[in-house]
Amino acid sequence: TILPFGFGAADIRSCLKILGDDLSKVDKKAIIRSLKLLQRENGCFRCVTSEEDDMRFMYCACVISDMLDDWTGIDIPKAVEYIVESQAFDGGIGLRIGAEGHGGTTYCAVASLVLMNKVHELKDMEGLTRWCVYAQGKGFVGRPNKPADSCYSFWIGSTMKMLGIYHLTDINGNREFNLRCQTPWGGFGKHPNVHPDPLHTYFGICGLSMMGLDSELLPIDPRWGITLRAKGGVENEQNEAKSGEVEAK
Amino acid sequence: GMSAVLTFPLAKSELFGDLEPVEQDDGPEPIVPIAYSDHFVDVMNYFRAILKKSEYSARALALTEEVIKINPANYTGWLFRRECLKELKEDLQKELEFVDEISEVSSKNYQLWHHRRVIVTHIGKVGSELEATTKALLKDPKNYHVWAHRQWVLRTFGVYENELKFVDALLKKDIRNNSAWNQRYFVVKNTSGFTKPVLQREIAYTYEAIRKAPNNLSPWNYLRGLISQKDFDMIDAITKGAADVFRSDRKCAECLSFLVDIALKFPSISRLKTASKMCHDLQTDLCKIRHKYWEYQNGKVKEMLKKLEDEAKQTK
Repeated sequence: TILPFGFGAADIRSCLKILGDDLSKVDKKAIIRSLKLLQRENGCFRCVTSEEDDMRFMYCACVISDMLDDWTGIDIPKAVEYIVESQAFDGGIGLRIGAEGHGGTTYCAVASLVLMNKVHELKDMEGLTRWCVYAQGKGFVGRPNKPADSCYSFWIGSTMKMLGIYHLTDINGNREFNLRCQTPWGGFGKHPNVHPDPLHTYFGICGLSMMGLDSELLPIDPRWGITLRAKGGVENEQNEAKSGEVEAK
Repeated sequence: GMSAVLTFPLAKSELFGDLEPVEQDDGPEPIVPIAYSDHFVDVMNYFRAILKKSEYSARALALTEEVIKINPANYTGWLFRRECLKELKEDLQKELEFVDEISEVSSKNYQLWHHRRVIVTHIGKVGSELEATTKALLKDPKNYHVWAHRQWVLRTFGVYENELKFVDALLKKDIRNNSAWNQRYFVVKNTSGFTKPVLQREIAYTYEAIRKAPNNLSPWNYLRGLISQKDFDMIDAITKGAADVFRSDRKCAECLSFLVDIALKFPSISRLKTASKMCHDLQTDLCKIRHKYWEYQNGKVKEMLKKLEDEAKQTK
């Protein structure tokens, strides 16, 4: 049967962590071996050997390697080269080389670099800083001249956390926008006054958590997009809740 | 190839009479089970059966069409469909018509555009890919998937001749279309490159666009792309353009922001002194929402200014 790899593997591992699993039943070696097969000559990753490669799967590969603490499946210099080449002229990072800078793919690219300890390789850090700052009006947009969308409070907020520039955001404006995206049915929509969905609810709440203004929200690790509690396993919940800001490596 | 005609429910059809449907296994106590329609369950039960057999047949091909229609993001459906198309040696031009059909209802779809790319790769000719993406972009001018596909078409078949005209047409419709500005950069980079005459042309083009909507971030970012070219030395031209904008609108935050960036990239004592004042104005008046950023920028400006002033003192 056909086994879709990229998203599935990363999501499954995240879910296992969130549910408190210690991943001991996961065949780690097999997964790492698969990563080798999925990396292309250009450094980027496919989701399945026959399928497309882009920044989403770069991130999946990096997060998988970090979760399993085994980087032997990735040619890091090639991966870094691909990401660096994908930075657009306006400082944002696109899905592929040449593509428009976009909030989601910028997150994937920066998180990948942070996990690989290679953020310093980016050629235009000032441009990326500016691009992120400019993405915020009140809420965040995914691309210039597009409407604000609650999930970008995570994609771009996390990017800024990882880069150590989160203090340049307007936290109150960000929070106000996300809260306006709540709906009478519960959950968050992408804009105010639209229906909620799981994605915008999840990332809207992650975005709020990073702002640090709602004490009932657990802190998250921006690199994985899950709570520190989930990351550490349920047993570590109490220790993690005490640690505040996440340090990027 | 011969096409099979499906009748629903498949469970009652002769065509699938020999197959044992395979139900989705959500485990003994599913959490948040999806309320699938009967039709969805019926189609997917038989798709799973076909997958289990790895059966690349006419009925399997017809089934993938329904699988895709009920969930256009089902990547297994698209992938298995490709296997059937290959096995049955189907007409790939006709397949593009199927993609067009699904694109009407689901164009913000990674799987669809990847499928299209694979089909076109097998056909090996550019065909009507520019027309198809033009049509899609006229409907939805910022569709990220369509732009990505179009860039692939241009790169693969080298058909850049009319692309700047196309970009220009989209910018005439919406000068704020960031995707179109990105495409402009992509075309120039992959054709003439940013030579001096091209830079002159692009600087003029961009300031023309800025005049129409001075607080539009996209062209200012495009200028940033121009000044970052290797050995860029047309500082006077680029500064003059910005100065013209500033003269007609002294509150144009984007203009001041760009002039600050120019000062940081091509530092001189006078530029940096002016830039510091601009950062202050942006921080306190013209762009207060980003006041922390202007404080940060001003910090860099002042640091660089001090460095240059110290150097000037030493050489005296």
